[in-house]
Amino acid sequence: MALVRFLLVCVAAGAAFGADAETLLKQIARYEHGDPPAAVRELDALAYRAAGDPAAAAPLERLLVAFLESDATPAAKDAVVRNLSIVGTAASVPVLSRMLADPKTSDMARYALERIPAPEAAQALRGALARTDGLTRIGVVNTLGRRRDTASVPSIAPLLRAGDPDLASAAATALGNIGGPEARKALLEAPQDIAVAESLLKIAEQDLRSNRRAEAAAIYQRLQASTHPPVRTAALLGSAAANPQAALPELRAILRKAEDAGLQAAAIRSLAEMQNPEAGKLLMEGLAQAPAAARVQIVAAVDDRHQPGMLPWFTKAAEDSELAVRVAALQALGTHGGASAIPLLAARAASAEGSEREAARLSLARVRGPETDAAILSGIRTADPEVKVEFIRAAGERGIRSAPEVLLEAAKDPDTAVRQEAVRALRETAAPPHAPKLIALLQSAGAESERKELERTVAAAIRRSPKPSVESVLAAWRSESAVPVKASLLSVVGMIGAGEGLPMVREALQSGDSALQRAAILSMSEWPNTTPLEDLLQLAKSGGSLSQRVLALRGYVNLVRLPSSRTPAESARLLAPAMEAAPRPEEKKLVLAALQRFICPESLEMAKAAAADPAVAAEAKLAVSNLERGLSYRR
Amino acid sequence: MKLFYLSLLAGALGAAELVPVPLELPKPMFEGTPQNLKVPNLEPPRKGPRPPFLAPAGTVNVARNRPVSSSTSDPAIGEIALVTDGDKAGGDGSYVELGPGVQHVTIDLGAPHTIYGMLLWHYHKQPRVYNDVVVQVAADPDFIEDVHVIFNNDHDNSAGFGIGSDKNYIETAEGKLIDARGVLGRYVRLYSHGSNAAAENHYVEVEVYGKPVSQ
Repeated sequence: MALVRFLLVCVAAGAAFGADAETLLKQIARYEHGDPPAAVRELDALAYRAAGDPAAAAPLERLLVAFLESDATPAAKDAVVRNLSIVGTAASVPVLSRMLADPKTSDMARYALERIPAPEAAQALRGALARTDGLTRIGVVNTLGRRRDTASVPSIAPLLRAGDPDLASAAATALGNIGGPEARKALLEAPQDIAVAESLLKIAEQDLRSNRRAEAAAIYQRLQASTHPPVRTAALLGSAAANPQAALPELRAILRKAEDAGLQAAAIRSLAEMQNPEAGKLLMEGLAQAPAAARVQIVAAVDDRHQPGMLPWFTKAAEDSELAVRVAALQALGTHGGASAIPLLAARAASAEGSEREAARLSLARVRGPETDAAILSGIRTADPEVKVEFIRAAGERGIRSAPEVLLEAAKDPDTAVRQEAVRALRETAAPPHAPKLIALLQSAGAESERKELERTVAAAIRRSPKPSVESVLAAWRSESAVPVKASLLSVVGMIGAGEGLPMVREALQSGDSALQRAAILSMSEWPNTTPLEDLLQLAKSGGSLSQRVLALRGYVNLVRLPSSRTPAESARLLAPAMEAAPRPEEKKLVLAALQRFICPESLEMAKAAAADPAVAAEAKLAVSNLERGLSYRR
Repeated sequence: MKLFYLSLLAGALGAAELVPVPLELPKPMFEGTPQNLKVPNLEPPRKGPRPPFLAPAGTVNVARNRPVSSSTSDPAIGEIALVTDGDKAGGDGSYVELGPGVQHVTIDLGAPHTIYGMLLWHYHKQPRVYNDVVVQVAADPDFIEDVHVIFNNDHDNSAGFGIGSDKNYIETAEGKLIDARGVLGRYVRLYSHGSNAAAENHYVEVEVYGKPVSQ
């Protein structure tokens, strides 16, 4: 019968709203949890579209109310009632009010009543307080709290003394959400437990935000006597925020006591946040007496305060017996240090290990100030080798532009570690004008490993020019006779990739020296563009030894694989002669791997042809399969 | 299987005594077995501890502090020397990052060695899977003749060394232990092609367990 009534309402409302909601509600009427939710979702979307448009919302609300009064399944009602929280008005309250008293439907009714802005909704909830009990009543209290319904405070306050602890706890939480003088008074007078304390903290925070400091301070004062450590900690933080000056004696006392680490951490945080200079002084004095964990927090807190003139204090903290304190202090020196912190940081980076060394190095790289770079360069000239290495590393990491001359001197140091670090730092700082001196270092380097490092550094310096020139490399090439050095110069030219260097590489290929010829092929293989493609292909086809042909072919394929604006077909055509020149199955597999990247019919044909060779048939068939799939995506 | 194989090998080598080789592992950076790595051809998680690595007495890591070169002249992070510096920790500062694409590092052992196994860590801060891991051993620095491929999990020949039959594996602090079957060589080259997490290539440490050929 009720369903019939609902259908009649649908007919009436449908004329005004449209048939969509009506149809959907009919579909939903027998809905059960777990059924496909499409119609429910569609109805939700309809409600969102109707929100804010009374002409659309009112007929939908009528349909929903009628639906709730029908004998639709509980799951169906549960699914649609939430839409009343979007389009509901006072007109929905009577049906929701009736549902409120029934434990089976109370939750869904509260969901809507909590959000319907009409005062009738709050009135219905207040009325339900007297008509409900158990969990239903607790739910009503929760909902009134979330509505911040000030008018319900007189009804909720007595529940703080209810025999049911769950109801009392819900009442306390609700009053904390509602706030205001009456709620505060009721909570202050109530038996103190954790729920009451949390609500009082919430009210005090609201007081602080509204600049009612005295009221907030009174609550915090009261809660500092709480038996719950987290409440005491929160109260201490609040108290310090409400009246910083008055809180200082207590914070000092807590700082010195070690019984409660949580409270001590809160005290340190409070002091860190205070602008008061006395707070900073307290923190600094506290370092001497505090336990290790608190000392780390104190150092971090003083760091956060960004107070000037702290260098001596951090320097002392950096000598602490506890590793974590030293690390925190070294990190702080990166912010507060300046030039006078640099000797300490470099010495520590050289002598410490692990996190302490890393902290010192990081601070050395980021410490700022007018004379910091000069202090680092001075250290490079005068320090012992272990410390000198750290100064050099810092010069590189800081990218000090005036460093190269000093670093070039350091690169001649008798100590291997100093030389090695200087060459690395020059990679970050040297510019094209430094190239001749760097090349001279390369020419005089004793060990291959040093030469290799210098190759990268020379190339990095020359590449810093907008138009890199290898003129200085060519000059060295002409005067140099040692094959290992000439090989290094070829490597440099390859890394830079300037066309003017190619004749030098070709000269090496004609030299008759197999080591130089190998270096020349590797140089062209590393070229950052395709300029030496033809040279490499000719070598792959007719180079002297198998080794040279293989290296040239690998280099050729590498260059073809470089990013380019060629079409896939053009790249495939470049790979075709490589496949022909490939001396062994190993190289054919390499060409097939490259071919798979260039998806086009030409690549496919090449792969199909290669499949006839049993030595590479598996790889060729795989390439065919990959290319066919790739081409199918493009159709 | 390894025990079985190495027993045969020992017979072939004149009944050399096989002993467990002590492996020093870094501190783990994550715990447990990752569950949701959608990587094809992934080896299943091992149940229980890794079996001991057995090799002839006197086998040690012969790669420690040996020179390393790479396919890229400019690592994005760190230095190539980190590959053999002995620092296997997973954190920043312990690994070298090479650019995207197929990249390699080559270790020069300084002299020919009989190589029984390799232990390598690409990156173990996260449970990653590196693509197209190919490990070769050769007598010449250009890897042209007598090249031994001791591991290849490149299933589509995208790296260009043929189709590999080894499984993909998850990086952990235990490292990947590869059976080198007593191959001879002076140079060891390791390729990779990014990972399931990033296009770049990383190496924390590579250890090569073997003995000089003269011994």
